[in-house]
Amino acid sequence: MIRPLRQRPRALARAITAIIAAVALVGCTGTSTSGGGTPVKGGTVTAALSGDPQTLDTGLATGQLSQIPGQNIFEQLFARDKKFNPQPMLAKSFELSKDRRTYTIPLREGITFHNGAKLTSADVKASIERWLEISATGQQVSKDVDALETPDDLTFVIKLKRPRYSLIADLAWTVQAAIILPADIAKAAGKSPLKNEQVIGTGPYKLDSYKAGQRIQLVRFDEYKSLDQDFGGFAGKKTAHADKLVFVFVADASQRLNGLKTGQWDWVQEINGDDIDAAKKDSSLTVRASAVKYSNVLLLNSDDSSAFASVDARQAMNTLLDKEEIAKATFGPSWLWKPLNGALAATSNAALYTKAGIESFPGGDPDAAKALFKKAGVGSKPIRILTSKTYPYMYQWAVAAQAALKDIGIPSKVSVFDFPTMYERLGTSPGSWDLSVTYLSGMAGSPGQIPWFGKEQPGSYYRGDYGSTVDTLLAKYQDSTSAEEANGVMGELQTKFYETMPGVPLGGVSAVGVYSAKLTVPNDFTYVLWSAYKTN
Amino acid sequence: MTSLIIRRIRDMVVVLVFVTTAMFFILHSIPGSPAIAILGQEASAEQIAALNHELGFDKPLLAQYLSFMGHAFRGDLGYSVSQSGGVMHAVLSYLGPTLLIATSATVLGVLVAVPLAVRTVSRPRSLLSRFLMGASSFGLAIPSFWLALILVLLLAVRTRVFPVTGYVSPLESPARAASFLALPIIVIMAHQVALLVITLRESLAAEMLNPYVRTARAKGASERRVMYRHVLPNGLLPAVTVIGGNFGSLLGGVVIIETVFLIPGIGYLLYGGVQARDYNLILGITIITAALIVLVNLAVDLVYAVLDPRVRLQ
Repeated sequence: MIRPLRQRPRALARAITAIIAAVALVGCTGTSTSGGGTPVKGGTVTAALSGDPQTLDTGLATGQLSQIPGQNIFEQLFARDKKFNPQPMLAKSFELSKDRRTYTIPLREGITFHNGAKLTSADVKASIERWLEISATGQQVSKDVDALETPDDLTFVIKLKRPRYSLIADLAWTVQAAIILPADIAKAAGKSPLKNEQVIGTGPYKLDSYKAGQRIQLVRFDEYKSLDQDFGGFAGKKTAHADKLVFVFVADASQRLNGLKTGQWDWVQEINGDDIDAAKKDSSLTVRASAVKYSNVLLLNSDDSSAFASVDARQAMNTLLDKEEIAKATFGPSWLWKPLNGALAATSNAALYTKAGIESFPGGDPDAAKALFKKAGVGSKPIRILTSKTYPYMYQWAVAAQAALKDIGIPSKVSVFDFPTMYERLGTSPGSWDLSVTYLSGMAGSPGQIPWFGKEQPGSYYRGDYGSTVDTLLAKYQDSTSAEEANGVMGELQTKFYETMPGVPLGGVSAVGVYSAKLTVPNDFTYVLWSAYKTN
Repeated sequence: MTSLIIRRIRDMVVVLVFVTTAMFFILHSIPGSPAIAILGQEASAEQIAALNHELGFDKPLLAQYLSFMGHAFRGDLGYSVSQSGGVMHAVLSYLGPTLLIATSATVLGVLVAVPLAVRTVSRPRSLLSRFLMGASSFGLAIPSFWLALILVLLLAVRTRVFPVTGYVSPLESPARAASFLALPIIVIMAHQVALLVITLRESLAAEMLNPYVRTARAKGASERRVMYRHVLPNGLLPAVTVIGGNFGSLLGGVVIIETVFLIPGIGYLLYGGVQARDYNLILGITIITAALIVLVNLAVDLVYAVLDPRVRLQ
């Protein structure tokens, strides 16, 4: 049907209106993918942590409890972007000498600390000296450091005894991070945790108050000088929208979720795995997988007194456990962990991710496991499993291991402790346990940060052929000249791991971000809150 | 009366020394350390040992004990690692909410329980009395954290009558303080009322068999007067012991309730202290709580003397 001519302009107008509306809608949708609405300046974002971090010193503390508030306060020379690659943060860039032993790092100009002092290379030198002393990664680096120099106020130089491929990644690492403090504070604090009055960084938020056991309040640092380019993750542009970030400590996971539902807080650190699916269906909440992943593992004690002293016994445990079944039962919804794989670095951590050596990861072959256990002479004495209910999933893995062992007729005994007790027993009483549980970050920046290769996890496995091979491969890694070469060495390390089996990887799982639908967290790392903002 | 008080104060010193000594060595024999709590689970054994050295927790145990006791006798309970300040200051600043909850729950509990107990004794076969006895047994049997979570779900999450957790000082806003304290007080009261109704019912029922009850009725006293004027004062004595004991326990902090509801009281402080392996703080709370319990017991004895002239004569 042909419409009368006079109606055509109206139809055209409608069409144009419809197009404009559609474009506007698409535009809105585009900005609301991670929450909704236009960024709003002001207000308070309240986050519920699962406990009191005890310290905000992220240079010393290893836990996320310290990192989640602390990362808003402190910055590093380099920070990891959303693909986990290091990007300059307080550094402007870096220049590597031809012999790969001298890093010249110009600093950004006009950076101000929360106490009003300007950042200089003297602050960086004192901070890095502290880091080399107190941080596990720093201690590894310090063996290669020849000298730290400050040729001028805004240039910092690291001279090495030998090339170190991972140096920039080490400086960007977030666990016991190389945080930059004012020189006098870095020197005064030394090996001790920073006192509250020493919590002075260059980040977009500064510490307002820390009431031990109750709350941490950060306020926007108005002199913060942001980078223009946003690299995502921990790196690049940071826009502090909220006036305040408040962290409260709520030990009970159900209460964290209840408070979130009723609007008492806007973000929670974690909730019970059983509640995730229901929370995802709740329109008042946002529940999404973070780009940050963890690797769940069973620690096998290779001490001479342990049932897992022999490689056969350790391989038997890996062969026995059906990782997919354990994941279904204990890892939460499948969108957090599928596809499951046994690599020691997460798939999103491209620099270190490799498939080398992981063929035996799936497991689930009880007959083969039984034969291997028999060969190793394991089965007459109960296997002593040490676990904790402080983190419920740790208990679940222990029970899953016990059930699998029972199915092939091997007795076991589960002992449950609170986490600090369990952790101390692992190190101080190697003769009292055979198998235990933990989780490791899948986001390491270099192999030395993976505890299996860094001598940090208890379990006595770092010895004999495994220890010497790992040392050789770590040195080879540091001598790499390209990303491909370094990734190849990581593959060799991973293959050695699976041959020796110092632990049984159960697979990687994403951290889960849970927050109010009124909150926008514009970051793939859902616990990065410096740019979070609320809309009504 | 004066000699009773002096005797009790002497006993209190002995009790405190014993409790402190036992607690000190028990605490230090438990694995874990303040350094692990600070450094987190990825720290190496060497780093943990180094921080424990920095914090002074690697000194010989006897030296630590003598140092603590020496300071404690001078009224200095030491430095709290987790609170970054003096233990005495921390405990005193957390005492207010606990005192408020303990007093409110106890007073309200007595006000609710006494009429209910009298009712169950005066009309034991009525439907209400039977229900009350069943409900009291239920109230004693259910774990308080379960009741807390159910009440939160019903009254805070679904109907939003009360906030889920938190605390506001009554000095800041009495109305908001009441709304934050309502659920924790109800949870504590549920147990208190159940225990009191059962205890009072037993003692009142025993009193009802005495000849003075028949005499009062023969004189034409109303049933209400018989119960409240004659039976209740005599039947109240066992309940005073229960009330005193419970009040003392509440002063020690209701760890689970304060932790679930985020009430900054002694129980919440203790929970944080245990998590942080803050030895001085745990010891400080133990000493102050023990002292308070001894004082409450003394108060109970004095109330006994007021209520029962025979005790005064003894």
